Amino acid sequence: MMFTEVDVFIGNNTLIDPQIYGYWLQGFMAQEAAKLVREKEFHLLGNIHEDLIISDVLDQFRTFCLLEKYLQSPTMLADQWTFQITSKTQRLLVEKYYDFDDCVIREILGKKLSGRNRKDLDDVSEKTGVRLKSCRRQFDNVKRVYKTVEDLSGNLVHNIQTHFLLPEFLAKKYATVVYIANNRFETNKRKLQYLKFDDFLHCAYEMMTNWSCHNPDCRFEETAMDMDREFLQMLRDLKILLEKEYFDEHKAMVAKSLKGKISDRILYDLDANLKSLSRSIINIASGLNHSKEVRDLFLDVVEKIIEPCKQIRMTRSDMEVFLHNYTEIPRTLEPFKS
Amino acid sequence: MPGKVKVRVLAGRNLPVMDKSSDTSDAFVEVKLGNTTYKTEVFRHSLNPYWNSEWFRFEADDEELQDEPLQIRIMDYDTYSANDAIGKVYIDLNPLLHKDSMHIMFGWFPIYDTMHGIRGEVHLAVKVDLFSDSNRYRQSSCGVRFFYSPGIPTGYTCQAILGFVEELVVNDDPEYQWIDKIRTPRASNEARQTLFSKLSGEVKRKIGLKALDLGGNSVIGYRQCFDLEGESGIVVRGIGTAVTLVKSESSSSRRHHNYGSTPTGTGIQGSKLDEYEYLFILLIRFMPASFPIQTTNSNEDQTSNFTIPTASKGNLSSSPPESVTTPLTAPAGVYLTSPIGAPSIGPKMLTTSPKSTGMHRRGSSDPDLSTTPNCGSNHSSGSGSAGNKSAFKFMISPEGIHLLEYPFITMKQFPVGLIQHIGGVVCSRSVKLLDQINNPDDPETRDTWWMELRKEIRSHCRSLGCNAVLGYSENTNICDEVVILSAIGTAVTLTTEKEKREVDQNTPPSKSTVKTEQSMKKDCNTCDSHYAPVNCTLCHIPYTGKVPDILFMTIEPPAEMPITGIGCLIQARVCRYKRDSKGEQCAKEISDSLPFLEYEIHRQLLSKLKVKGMNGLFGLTMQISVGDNLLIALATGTGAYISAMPPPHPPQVSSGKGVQTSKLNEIQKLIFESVSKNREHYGLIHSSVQPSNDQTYEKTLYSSCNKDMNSNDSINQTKLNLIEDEESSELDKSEEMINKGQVLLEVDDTEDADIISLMIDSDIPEGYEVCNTEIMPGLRHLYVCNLQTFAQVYRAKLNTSKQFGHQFDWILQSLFVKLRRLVPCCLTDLKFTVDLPETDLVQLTVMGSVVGLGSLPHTLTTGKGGVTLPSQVGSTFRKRTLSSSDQSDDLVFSMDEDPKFESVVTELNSKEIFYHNPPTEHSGIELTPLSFVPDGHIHYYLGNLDFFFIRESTSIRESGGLNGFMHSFLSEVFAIVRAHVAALGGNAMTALHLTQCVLLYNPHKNQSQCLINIAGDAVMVHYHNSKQNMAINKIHSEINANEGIINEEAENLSHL
Repeated sequence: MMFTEVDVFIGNNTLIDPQIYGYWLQGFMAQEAAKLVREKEFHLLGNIHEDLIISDVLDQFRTFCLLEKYLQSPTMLADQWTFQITSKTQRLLVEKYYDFDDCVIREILGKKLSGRNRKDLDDVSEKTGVRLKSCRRQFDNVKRVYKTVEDLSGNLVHNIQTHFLLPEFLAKKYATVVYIANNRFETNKRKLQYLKFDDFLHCAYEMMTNWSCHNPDCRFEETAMDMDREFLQMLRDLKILLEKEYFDEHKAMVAKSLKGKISDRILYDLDANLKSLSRSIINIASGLNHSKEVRDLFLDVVEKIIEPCKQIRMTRSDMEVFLHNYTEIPRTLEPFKS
Repeated sequence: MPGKVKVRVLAGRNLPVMDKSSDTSDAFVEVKLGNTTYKTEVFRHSLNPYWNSEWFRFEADDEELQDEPLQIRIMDYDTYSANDAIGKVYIDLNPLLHKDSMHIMFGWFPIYDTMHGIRGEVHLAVKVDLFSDSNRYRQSSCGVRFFYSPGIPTGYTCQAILGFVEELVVNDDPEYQWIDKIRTPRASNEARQTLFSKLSGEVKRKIGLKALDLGGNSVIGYRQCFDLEGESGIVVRGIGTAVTLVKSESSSSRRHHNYGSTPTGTGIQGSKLDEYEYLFILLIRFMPASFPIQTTNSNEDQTSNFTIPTASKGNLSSSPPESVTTPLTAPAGVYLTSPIGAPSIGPKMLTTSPKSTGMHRRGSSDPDLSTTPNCGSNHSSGSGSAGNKSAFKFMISPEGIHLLEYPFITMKQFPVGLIQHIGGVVCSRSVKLLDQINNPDDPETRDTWWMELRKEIRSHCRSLGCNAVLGYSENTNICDEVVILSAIGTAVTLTTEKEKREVDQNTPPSKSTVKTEQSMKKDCNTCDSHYAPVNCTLCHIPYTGKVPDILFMTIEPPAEMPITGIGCLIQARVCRYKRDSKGEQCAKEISDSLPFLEYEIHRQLLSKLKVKGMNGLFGLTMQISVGDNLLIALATGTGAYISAMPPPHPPQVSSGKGVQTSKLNEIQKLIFESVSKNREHYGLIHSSVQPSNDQTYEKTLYSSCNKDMNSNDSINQTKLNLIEDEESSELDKSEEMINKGQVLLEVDDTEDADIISLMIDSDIPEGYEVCNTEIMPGLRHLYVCNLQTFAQVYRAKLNTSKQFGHQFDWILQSLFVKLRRLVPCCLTDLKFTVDLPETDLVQLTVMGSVVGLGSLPHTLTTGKGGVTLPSQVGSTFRKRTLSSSDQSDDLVFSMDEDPKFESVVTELNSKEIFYHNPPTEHSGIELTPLSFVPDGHIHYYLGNLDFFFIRESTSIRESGGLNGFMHSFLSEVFAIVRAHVAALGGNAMTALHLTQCVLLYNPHKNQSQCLINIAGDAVMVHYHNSKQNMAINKIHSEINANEGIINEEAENLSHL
């Protein structure tokens, strides 16, 4: 065949093929993508020369490459003249561009978003089976979102939504990822390996909503990604529960409230372990004032709370009932009554 | 009219980072018109500066206003070294000068740099205040309007067509000046862009003056070309047609007027009556009103029953057979009383109107014909109502035409009744040497060249017995110092004033249209080539015998010409090797080869057309291109079957010695097979009756209609009929062969045989239609929306000249792949350009528009409800798409409403076929090469825009190779065009064309340069189906309240 030097097709309206966009995001080469396109649309393209399909894919890929700079600051997408895209397509482009693979983000979670870690992404790629190009995009997205919202005050999810025009569910995901990144939580220790991205997502989201300062006139300069210092200081007061007189009362009431809800055998074991368990919980809580200990939060929780409970074969529901009562009861105790 | 120009620079956004250390820029703006320059303050450390400048005022005489572009330069301030350029914005002030204009434009303009492309945007407001000045000796032509559109602009009535206007200016090309050796590429590119912009303004101004001299106020069908001659300079040429336009009073329905529908004949009263009669019949048909939607559908389907893919069954019976769909909810009475309803009935009304005379005519029998060529399905119906009956007064009288130096008209679409006979294509070329120009800066030499060519055309035209040349265009091709000048047009006889009156009184215009020219001079096929000045001219006439059975035209299909079935793209491509010669020798060689090229091209066109079973070719364009070692000819047109002309004969194969008979028979069989396949595919049914007698013609059609109706019963029978047709035509053929001695294709060796098999193009896949005219013959009514306008640039190395033809098939195939998400669609107005940049290298540029095809009938919104319009031809199309799955459908015609059949069709429809519907939301700026916007009507012409862009890069590999470079450049070109349209308050650009796309590539230096010329008419379109008309109106009124809004805008920006 002959050598084709130039082959470009430009439309006044930039029409996006979502499927080909997907292949591009996944980091496919044009040839691979063309093969997949032909398979998908076999009734139409079955007899078409491969080069023609590749040419179409390349047109789309080039458009995506040129669009990438706008996708990196999505608010520009609506302001630019270069590509005439309907707002519906714009939303699709942004949403898919910022969408990520949980398994990839799980690997990055809590790591410093540095150039060095970016270089190590081939390990991530190898481990997750996601192509390096896609891993890089996901890494860069997280980093970009982080850099943008790092110094902003106000609601984190809301900030992400306004700056990146993301749908709420995705903005929430980013908020948690960024939250974890900001607090540099350790997530990659061997003991934590069994935890999925969703687990962290859930935890971080709860922490964000419950542990952050929502008072706009806060005296500390806190962003939505920091924990509320006043709250942390208050956690120190919990230490009083470790003092003998309160602990005994606490313990007794917990045991009493759990009676009948948890099997006797476990209740018995729990009774034996409660002292150390309670100490662990309270120490973790008060330790949150030190950023070094904050990082090990998940590790501590697993090592000092989850594992002992597992050992006494508590089930998930047992755990829920126990923790609920464990945290509710002190409200009725003397030091916390006010 | 001297004027005051006021410019205000409000803000910038998304500027590039010019200061790497702080990641910001210190931007300021220079505003320049003529020799006056103003500057804004420096806005420090920002990529989104807010200057909010005062109004900079320029005073300029109107000559300057017309010639000089307003230049806005955005700079980055640097304390220690020279300021860096960020980019520029050129603003053509011409659109602000005509008296209907708002005299203002404002908005975000992309900042363009020739080395980096678009770099952010700047928010500008520009105002022009003109003072009236009635100096008779003025050099300016302010106020003369230019339209690139090849027809009479919508919303205007043409009072007079005054004649051909042309102008040519020559200048040094800055790229070839000595100073270019010492300045930066950016400076050189900008010098060129500025110069080109000025020259373009100058040409327009001078043409405007000529138009004024002729007594006109506008130029339509305007074309402007830049000939980059290299060392000998740059030539800017413009041609157009001077006319007198008046804004037609908008009818009550606010529909735009369009010329085609201006009935030339029968009194207002008569036709009005007919409209009502017609309506009345319609109403009766649908009296059992308030159909549920389903019934509507079945009605639609039923339409397809009694329409056949041939012409003109429609109005044979006294009751209009077109079924009407139906805003069934609207009370029927509305249509009788409201003048708004009337136009919505549409084209058919026009056609039915002559019925009052009791005669039936071909022209009127096909609804497809009566619509105007320059508008889509919807608004074509525009002015059947009495509102627009203002008669034309063409200043072209027999005397008038003779008085004109050149009776040339660059328009391609014409009012009904203007054309009386069509002669055929006239074409003339000459080869010249640029280095023999004595005084390079002098336009006279080129003027003389073109004059010779025009005279040639004029004499060809006369020798055909015609009095005018329509669809006239001029082209050049330059290769080193050799230039080929070409002129092409369609020789016709125009209905002159006196005849017209007669025609008006006695017969409707449509009758006389296709009287084909009989007094042909065979000897026109001469070719005389002299040498020094090398000159080769030839005229070719598309007739093979005394009775023309094939007609070639450069114009759009005239509205009144009856067409059967659907058209298709016909393309002839010839490529020959040329010796690597220079100068005179090269010129001589080219000049010697031209006749052979032309012959070959003509032969290919003719046989391809015949293989398609068609007899007319519209919108013919021809290009001759010369490269280092190749000589190329390309001809593109849209074939169609003109009902009034005899069916074409399938090409016959004859052989010399040395080819086996079996092989010959094989080829012949192949040809016959594809002819009959094509006939079926394009819905062409042959009636071999001569158009000499209307009565008989009508009768035969009727009978064939009956025949077809019978065939309804059994598919087999119809097929039989077809075969019979075939045989009879073959018989005819062989007789004629004897009579005329006509042998089309000669097979003398195997190579010839290969060529012949090439004539049979590969099939167009289902769901696509392709043509190079604005309207696909036979599909007028199905245009529902503009889906895409595209440009494709393709460049490949040829191994052998044989591959040349394949490139086009390849490109078409690739378009089908790329546009597969848009079916069913019609690729219209395809413009192919070939360049031969280097040895063995071919560059093809294709530009076109993709129009979505709708199902029938679709609703015409007229403000109040709508009447839907079925169309015969439309249903042909539908059937055709269906036919692949179910042949029977294609061949079924029934006048009576056979419920069984109806259900079949409904089933089929619901099964798989998707149709486009006019979108209800329109966002963004539409660009289209068409002179109308499907589904919209042009509310307002805002002026024309002409851009010449140069883009250069010295980091081609880093920017994604040549493909990446071109991709981003073309995207940016479209973007800048859109931005300027928007700044004028428009939402679309029509008649968009890309006249030049030169790509120079130097791989060793990693450098490339590309030049693009793009132009069109900025318009404001109202969409029939849109909720956003209100919004557009609002914007427009806002612009009216200009200064206030700009201040407001400035305030808004300041908050950012």
